[in-house]
Amino acid sequence: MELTLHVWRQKNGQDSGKMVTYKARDVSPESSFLEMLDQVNEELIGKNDEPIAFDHDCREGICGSCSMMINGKAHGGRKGTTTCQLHMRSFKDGEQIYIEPWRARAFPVVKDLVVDRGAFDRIISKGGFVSVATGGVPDANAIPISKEAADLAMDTAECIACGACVAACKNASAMLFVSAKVSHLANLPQGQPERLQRATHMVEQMDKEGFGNCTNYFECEAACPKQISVRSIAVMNRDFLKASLLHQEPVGKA
Amino acid sequence: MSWIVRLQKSSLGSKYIMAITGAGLFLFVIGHFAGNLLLYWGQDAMNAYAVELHNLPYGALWIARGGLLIMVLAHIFIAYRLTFQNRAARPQRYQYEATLQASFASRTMPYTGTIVLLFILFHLAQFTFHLVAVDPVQLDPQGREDVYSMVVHAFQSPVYSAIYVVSVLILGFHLSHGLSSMWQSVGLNHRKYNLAFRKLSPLLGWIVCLAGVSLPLAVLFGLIK
Ligand code: HEM
Ligand code: SF4
Ligand code: FES
Repeated sequence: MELTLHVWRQKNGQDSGKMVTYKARDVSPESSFLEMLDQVNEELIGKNDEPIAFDHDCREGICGSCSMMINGKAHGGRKGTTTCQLHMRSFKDGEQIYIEPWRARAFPVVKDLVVDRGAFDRIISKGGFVSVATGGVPDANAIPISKEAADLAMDTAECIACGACVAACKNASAMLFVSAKVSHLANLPQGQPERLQRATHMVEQMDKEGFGNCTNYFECEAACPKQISVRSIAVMNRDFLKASLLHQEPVGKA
Repeated sequence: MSWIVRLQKSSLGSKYIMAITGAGLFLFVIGHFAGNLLLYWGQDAMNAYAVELHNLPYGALWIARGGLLIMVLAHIFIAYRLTFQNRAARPQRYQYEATLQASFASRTMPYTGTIVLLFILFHLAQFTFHLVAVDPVQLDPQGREDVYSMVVHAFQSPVYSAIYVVSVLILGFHLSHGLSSMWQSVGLNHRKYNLAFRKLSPLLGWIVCLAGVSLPLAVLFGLIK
């Protein structure tokens, strides 16, 4: 296959950046999108040009680093697929392909297609965990969990923090990511003690990072490579509401 | 009280307020249109209704007006604040824009809302404050304010009728997203009830708005004289 790529090139965070056009020749339909980019980069390196910078790690859809907008769609827009698992057979020979980084104030561009998703880490550090006393290994079945609860938790635990939901949202909102973490732990017994506090603290940090708000477009759900449902956003909305209305004051002594 | 200030500033708190004020405004629209449908029952019914509204006990009319004003102001203030925050969250747009499933109605909420706001101001200026586009108020044979003739006469103008028809249809469009979205905003999303949340609520919005739209059309086509 032969393709025309329009790729966002930006030297660093200060550079204003622009779209640059490249030809990708002799692309195998069996290769992945990232392998196609590797091929283009090898050609660029051969010509002593700067290769296109993009994030990648696992190349099997589990690390969430291969973030890029392909023809306006996060990860290329194929259902339940990350960029690394997108194959060139999904494109037509001779097609024009636009490749851009995630666009959000909270995700500044580092270089070309690479953005800094540190905002997600800071949100996680505010509550995306359970506090446990360390010590001996606990008994495997000491805490009973129903199959349903385990399945529900797993559905949202699948989130790989790729940021496609933010990139796809018309408001650059991070609700789907944050809610996936909130409802993952809200479904498990271990998550209960810190449940309301978790929702409050994670939402507060999300707001501080400068993500947009939710208009319930549900665009995130369609873009998510792990098909996280917006039902998890409803769980977060409930928990945050409950926390706001019923926030526990220490009773103290009279 | 400080928790309320903090809540209304937060992203989710703003959404609760949008949902609650939006639902409250819709309930008002239902009541308002239901009252206006009395136009079909003629001059006596309509004018008697207007007198009764003004004579409600315990200042109920003013309490309702106050509540309405607070809801409208809160809805509008937060709508614009959210819209500006959302724009600021993506300073640089995509060169290639695509949409997977966000509906047209959901993407145009700030625009349809603004049109509804302009319409509300025009509507108040015309029928409540009698500032534009309306004859001086007459009295009917029983000596009551002749609301019926005022409205009918205004709607006999194709231009004013068109303004009402188009604006209320745009309200219906605003509600076609709003009435399904408000449930999710307060955390109500369940497979068992999503038919009601996502389909029946907007349907009710359209039914109400079409009932409203029927009035200027009925006058224009001579059903109401
Ligand atoms: C009779 C008048 C109105 C009714 C019944 C109404 C109803 C609603 C409802 C039910 C929602 C959904 C709330 C949610 O998603 O949780 C909504 C959202 C919205 N309304 Fe209105 N509205 C009215 C007037 C207005 C006006 C005058 C404006 C603008 C100035 C406006 C702007 C918006 C915006 C921007 C949203 C979306 C907010 C967001 O989700 O980001 N609305 N409205
Ligand atoms: S919710 Fe989906 S789109 Fe968002 S970060 Fe997690 S895996 Fe990526
Ligand atoms: S490279 Fe790890 S998910 Fe794509």
